[in-house]
Amino acid sequence: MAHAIPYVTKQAHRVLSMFLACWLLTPTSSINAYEVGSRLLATGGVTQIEGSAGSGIVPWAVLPGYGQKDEWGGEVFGTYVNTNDYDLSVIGASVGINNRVELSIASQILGIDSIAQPLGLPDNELKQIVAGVKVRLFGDLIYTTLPQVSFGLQYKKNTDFDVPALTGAKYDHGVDFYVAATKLWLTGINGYPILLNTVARSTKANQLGLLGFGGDLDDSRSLLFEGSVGVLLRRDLVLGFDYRQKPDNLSFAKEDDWMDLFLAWFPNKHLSITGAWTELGDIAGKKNQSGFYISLEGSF
Amino acid sequence: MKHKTIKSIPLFILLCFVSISSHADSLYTELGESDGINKFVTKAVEISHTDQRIAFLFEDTDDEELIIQISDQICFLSDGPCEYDGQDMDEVHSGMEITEAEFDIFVAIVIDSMEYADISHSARNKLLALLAPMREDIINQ
Repeated sequence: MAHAIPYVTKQAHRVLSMFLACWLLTPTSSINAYEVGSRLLATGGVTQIEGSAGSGIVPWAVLPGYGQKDEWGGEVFGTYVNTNDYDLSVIGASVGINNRVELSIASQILGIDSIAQPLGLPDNELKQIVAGVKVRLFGDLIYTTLPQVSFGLQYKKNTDFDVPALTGAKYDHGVDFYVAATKLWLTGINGYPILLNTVARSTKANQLGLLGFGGDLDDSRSLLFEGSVGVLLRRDLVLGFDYRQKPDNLSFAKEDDWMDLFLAWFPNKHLSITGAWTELGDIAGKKNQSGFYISLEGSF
Repeated sequence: MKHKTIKSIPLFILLCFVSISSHADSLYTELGESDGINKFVTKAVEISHTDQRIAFLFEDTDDEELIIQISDQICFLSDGPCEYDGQDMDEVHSGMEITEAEFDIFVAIVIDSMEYADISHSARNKLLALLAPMREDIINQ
């Protein structure tokens, strides 16, 4: 099958990430010249690994950037995850329109050197593109008694299906549907605000979709739970925990639930930096994958 | 095994917060009583006049009266020794057509002003939690 998007390479990711880092971390960066939206600091969350506004591995019901009604906002981001045997690089961008609609795009590359050679695989990378839409249905993260609730979908397409096909995956593309409910409880614990987020997702994606969709064990959709809990240690600092259930569609290797413990810092409305420790369980036969996660993003 | 360790971290953090949540000061005291409240309310009104995105909403206000009204209301809400006998929020803002964006800008100014007045993160959030339900009576009136 022809490579639909041949220019998405690790080199391109590296160059774009370095450019992003230089641009964002320069105090006089041109991004500071943009007027950002009116919403309060940190209310757009950060960008999760599939490109949607959320925390490390889980989407939230919030919209990216700081756009309120009649305003636009958005994010550009780069994320790098390094575990014992793999590394994942993600770059992407999103826009939030009128605090109502999110459009996002992300490119993921998983380095699989550790298994490519021993297993004689035709490729040492797994790549996919994720295009997402999210719509806020009702509620406000902060001001309403009900949580903010959004519906989203993520269309995912492998740019090379050779390796996923060898593992037993059925399709090179798929669509995840999810509903997210997110609430920031201001009083929290003794005035430290607490954020609660729950997601129900319907998916066929193996390891986010990087190992294709559907499989020899199970070719039906799985309904999975995801959740985040966080505390605002300061106005600009969120400490939180994500949990994400995963399907188990492939007989060649079991797939585990994922979790991470993250710290996100929002020095201003133009920039956020997130560090996390991830526990990703067994991935494609390699046991107990854990490691660090770093994400840098700019808001406009 | 590693999974078990990381799973217990959120519980640990929760317990840390519960354990430090035992001091008994009222919110009014945490806000610095009438002097503290007056300081950040005055600052918030001052900044609002200089922020071009919302300054027009304050063009015709009597600042002294506004500062007294807001301060009394915050004193009352935070269990201070004040009676708030001002008008209802929806009446006060009637005809102003304050948007969601303008509301958020003012909230951010109030937070900045509380920071300026050295009010703690936790006291700020407790006050914001008391003010948040008023949003529905303030916007789009």
